[in-house]
Amino acid sequence: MPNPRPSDAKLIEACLSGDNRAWDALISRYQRFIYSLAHRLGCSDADSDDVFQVASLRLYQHLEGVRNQESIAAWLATLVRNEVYRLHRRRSVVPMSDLGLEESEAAGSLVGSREAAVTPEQAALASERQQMLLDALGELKSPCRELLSRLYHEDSPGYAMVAAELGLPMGSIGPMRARCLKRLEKKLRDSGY
Amino acid sequence: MRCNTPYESLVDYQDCKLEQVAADEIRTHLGSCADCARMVADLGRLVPDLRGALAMPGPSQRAIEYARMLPRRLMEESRPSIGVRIASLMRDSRTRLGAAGARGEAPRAVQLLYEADSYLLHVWQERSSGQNWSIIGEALVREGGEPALVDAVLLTGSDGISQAALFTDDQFRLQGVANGAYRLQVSLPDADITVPYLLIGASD
Ligand SMILES: [Zn+2]
Repeated sequence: MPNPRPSDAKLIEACLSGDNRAWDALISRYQRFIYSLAHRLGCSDADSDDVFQVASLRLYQHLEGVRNQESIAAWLATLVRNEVYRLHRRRSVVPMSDLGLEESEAAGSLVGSREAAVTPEQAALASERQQMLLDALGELKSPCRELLSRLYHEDSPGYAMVAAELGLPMGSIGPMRARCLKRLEKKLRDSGY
Repeated sequence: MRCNTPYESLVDYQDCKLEQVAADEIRTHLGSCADCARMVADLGRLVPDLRGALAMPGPSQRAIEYARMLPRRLMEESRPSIGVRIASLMRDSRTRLGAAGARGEAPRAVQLLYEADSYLLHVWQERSSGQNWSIIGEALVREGGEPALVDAVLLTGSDGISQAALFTDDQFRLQGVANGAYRLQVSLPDADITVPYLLIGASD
């Protein structure tokens, strides 16, 4: 039986052999990570979009090298930080020091940063943790994956709607949610979250 | 001693979904059961993290579309028929004997002819004012000498600044080009021709 969620290494291997669906899967796995890290580093929506596009191009061009990386997320985090730095320098909006590329007292004062007192290292770490969580969620089997994604999403329509959407009895949602959370917690513990 | 409190109750407690009485019961139990207290504390971290991760913002649909199309687009760009051809110089009026008037005097006009694969590239330089030149060029199909359809022309200086040419019929034009060394890129439907080193102005 094929693994429902191929590893990064498998996806990259498939991308290199010209499988466009593998590339789609890789992009959809990391798109929010790249974008939200740029956002955390003080980029506007439009700039985060640009950083995401540049990062995906670089990722594609470096698939061969990335294949041997232990963590794509860490590799991407460095890439995103460099791109954000380049973008800001072109605009001369944020002093270099604010992007943590120089030690300074300015850490945490990123222009437009959405989280108070965030250094680039902290931003990358927070994004990597969130990515780990999304990865663990993605590795859960159905219906746990869908159930947790729907129930804990900010726009969750509530138990009744989620039950209807997933074709599950209303009464089963509560107990199932508890089981699914337990599985998610175990996966995260196993991956060193 | 094992505790029989169902995990579901702890989840509901943590999520404030229990009735008052049941919630009080759990709260009392947590005071005396380290296992359950730890599980509730773990949930207290996991659930906000899960909400946070699911609320991560993502790129626009347009940007995602761009990323997804990358392999196909890059594949097209590297199509063998679109290879970049380096043009080789066949003729430079500045190096022809007696063509540029008295020795040491900069010519007022320069004619260059390049060849690249099945194309010929004509480039004229005319001094417009002071140190500035106008560049006029055209690409010809070598066999038959018909003008070739040029898509775009880019002139890039050693400072990396590029200027795109304007078109009049089959000729491309660049105005106000200063003395210096440039790279000229001519895009044709089935080939990109590059003149890596185009010297505008004096020949030395
Ligand atoms: Zn207990």
